Amino acid sequence: MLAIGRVAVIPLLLVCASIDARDYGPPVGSQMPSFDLKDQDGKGHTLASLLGPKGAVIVFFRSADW
Amino acid sequence: MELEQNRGEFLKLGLGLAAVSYDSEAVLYTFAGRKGIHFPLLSDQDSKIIRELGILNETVEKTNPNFGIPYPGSFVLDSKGVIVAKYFEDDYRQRYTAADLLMHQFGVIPAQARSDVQGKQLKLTAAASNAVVTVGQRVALTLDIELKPNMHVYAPGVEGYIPIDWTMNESDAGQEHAVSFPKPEMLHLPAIDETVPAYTGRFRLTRDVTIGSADKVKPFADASGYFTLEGMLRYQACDDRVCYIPQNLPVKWTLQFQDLDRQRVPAELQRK
Repeated sequence: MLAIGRVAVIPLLLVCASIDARDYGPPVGSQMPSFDLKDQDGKGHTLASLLGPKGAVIVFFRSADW
Repeated sequence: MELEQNRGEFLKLGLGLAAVSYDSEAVLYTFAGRKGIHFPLLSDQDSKIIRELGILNETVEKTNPNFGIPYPGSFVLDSKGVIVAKYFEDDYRQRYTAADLLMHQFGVIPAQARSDVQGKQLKLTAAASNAVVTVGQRVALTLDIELKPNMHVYAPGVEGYIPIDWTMNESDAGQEHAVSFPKPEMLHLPAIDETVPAYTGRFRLTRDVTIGSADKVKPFADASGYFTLEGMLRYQACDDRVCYIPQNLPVKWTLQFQDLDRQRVPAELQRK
């Protein structure tokens, strides 16, 4: 029973080691969904309007208040 | 605000820049005014795009006013809006700085916290993406190394020689991440007829450090908040005839710690 237990544990540890970092958001290589949001001055922005000649960086943060 | 400080670099690189939160336009207006922010802060008040992207923080109770917040992080998009990279931290209390992202993603050379060190067979410049840091920020430290002509050093994984190695002194002020080594060249050494992974000329080593909490950093900081992160570069340099004595070169970065900005918007704008 002990030998079987040890053999079962090792593959489980290998699986855990490969998925230790959570992957957030759509996968790299996929298209960012379009959006239409207002900014701090009430001006509207879409994904298309934000993209520069080399692309864009969109930062998500928790809150401007706390 | 660190993103605002680096806004010019994004512009120079031809990159659009925007930040998104679940705050109302009024909260964002107050915040932008107080901090002097001149790029779009987008209001996703119902967390619609946050949800659509799958980054809604579902560990927050639905009854909590904070429900609706995203996991914090950044998407790097190409000119067509395709996601080319993501910078998200597992620990929501840690976040990549804009300068760290600019360095890793676009090779923008950090210009802060610079110091030059002269060693035997090489010289180097140590720098950091951010000279002023706060709790939980993930910043980049760099070592730009220039070997003397005809010299080479060995890359990690070499056998029989001492590979180049960069260690950081243990410090509660900052938690270091693994070193990023550039791809080595396979150098053929005619004198001994061996091919080894090595670096010649100029190359850069980088590693990130996540800044600790105030109570962890302050014991190391002076009255103005200055503290140092210290480490060692170990290497063995050889030319085409001889190998020189292995060297241990101390390296350090002087950063300035600032407390988190805890100022809130007026009560009537706060989310209930």
